[in-house]
Amino acid sequence: MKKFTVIAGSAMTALVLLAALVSFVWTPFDPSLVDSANRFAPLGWPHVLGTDAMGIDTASRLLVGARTVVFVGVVSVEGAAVVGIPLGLFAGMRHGWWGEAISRAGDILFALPALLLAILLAAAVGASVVTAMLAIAIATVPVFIRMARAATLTVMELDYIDAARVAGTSEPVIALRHVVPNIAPLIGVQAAVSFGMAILAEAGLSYLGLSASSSTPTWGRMMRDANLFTAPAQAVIPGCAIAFAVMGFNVLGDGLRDYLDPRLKEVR
Amino acid sequence: MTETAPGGRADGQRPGEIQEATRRDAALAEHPLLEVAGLSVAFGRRRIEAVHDVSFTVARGQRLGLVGESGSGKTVTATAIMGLLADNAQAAGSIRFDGEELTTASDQELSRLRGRSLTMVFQEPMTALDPTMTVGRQTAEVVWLHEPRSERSEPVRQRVLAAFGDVGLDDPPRIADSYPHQLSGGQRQRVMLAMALINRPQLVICDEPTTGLDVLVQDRILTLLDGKLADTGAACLFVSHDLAVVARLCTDVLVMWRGRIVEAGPVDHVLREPRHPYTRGLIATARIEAVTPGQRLPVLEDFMTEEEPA
Repeated sequence: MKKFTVIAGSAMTALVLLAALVSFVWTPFDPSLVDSANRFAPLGWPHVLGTDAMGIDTASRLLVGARTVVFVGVVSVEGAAVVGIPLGLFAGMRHGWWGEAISRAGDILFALPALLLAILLAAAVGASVVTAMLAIAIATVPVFIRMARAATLTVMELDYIDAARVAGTSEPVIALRHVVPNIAPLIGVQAAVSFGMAILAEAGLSYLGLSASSSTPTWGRMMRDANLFTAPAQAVIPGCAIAFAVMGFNVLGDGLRDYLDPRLKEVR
Repeated sequence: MTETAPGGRADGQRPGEIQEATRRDAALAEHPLLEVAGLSVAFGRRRIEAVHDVSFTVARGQRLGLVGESGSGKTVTATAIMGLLADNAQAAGSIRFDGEELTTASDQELSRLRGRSLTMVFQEPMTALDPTMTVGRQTAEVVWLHEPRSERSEPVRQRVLAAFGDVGLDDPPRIADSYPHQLSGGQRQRVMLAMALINRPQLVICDEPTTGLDVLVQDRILTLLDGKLADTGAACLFVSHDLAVVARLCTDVLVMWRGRIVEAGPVDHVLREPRHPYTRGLIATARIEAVTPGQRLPVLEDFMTEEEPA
């Protein structure tokens, strides 16, 4: 059963990845080909998922949109992890002033939602995928700080850290060899969940016009361009795609957590 | 010193020890290996004292037992020597190892000493090994940390396998490639011993190393530790609540109670003629076989009603 959630989550995320990869080599139609004669084509043949207000093939846009999903997810989560994990690790290992300062700074950052940051950035330099990614990454940093710090605090209490210390291991080496491998499973779960959150945030931002311009197809943008009354399918289809991708990563995160937990118990 | 204690283990001088002593510099032999003077440790803002004005020495090759009940301060004393006190602890006094002051030593200086000439065996072999690393690698790391590549005469893996064989682990290559959770408690404690001894330390601090093990395994580990200490001529500070275990392994004993040393001396002497009521209590409560069946077992409080020296 635990394995099932991991497999289901992996399959769902793999499908999103596959869509993004396939879009590089093949799409049913040119995703930027405007065909005014064929606006709001119904689901069927040759436009499997119909066309949008400009007559662009929805299936093709959906495939290409998966690129943005994966790109934004990977870059913002990686960015947040690269900044947040070392900070959290440091804050967890140093109890003093610096550790405290980092955690409190993270808490303050927590108060700023991605949306607000995105509006700020869009106002400053203009909305683009990059500003959306940056906003999401900044908003995700405190999540990783907290997570890494909490996990580090737990690990630091364990005897093998003291054992490493009495063996003469220096603090940086303890951090890399003993703490990081032991908090890695937790971080992995957090990354999967954050990935889902990032996708959702990006979709929200592009829906509000705070992300990619209309020339870059994204799922949120597709929803924005669709009209729920005249062609509901054109809004529902990208909506379902977003829900599917977010759920995929959440199921994967849940599954990983359940799958890794008992093993950790056995190990300790 | 030819007297034999009831445990039959108080034969102070061992052949290995004598060799070791003659091999060493006369100048070095002047001061004791470990010298703890006026050590006090307090915790928290309210400065609750766990250890109060503790002084003792460990000579080269000497085996000193540190006995007391839970909360008597024995583990805190050992922890202070290893420099592992929690952040909220304040230590006062002096701890000199081989003439070097440890309380003011930098992390770097401590890193050089710890793991090489000063090592420790932990109470819980279950948690003292990193679950994400094979035990062979963890043991090898202790060598890597302290021995520059140029000084190595044989591959580190060979050293690790030899050390595992020395502590009586069957099939060292298989053990070395195992993760801690794949080993039994006794095997893990043997691995811990191998790690503590691989760099031929001068002092091994054992913090109740057999408490988590069943009696039979405990016995084997103690025999092993006894033999290994004799082989290497290492001194040992053995922390335990179990007088019988200490009597078996150590030549001298310190009894701690409420953060103070209340009694000190050769093991056989202390066991035969305990002066402090607490020591008397400890001895009596450890001898269940001396109680007539049907009678109430003695408890420490039975002895502590007498005067309590400050």
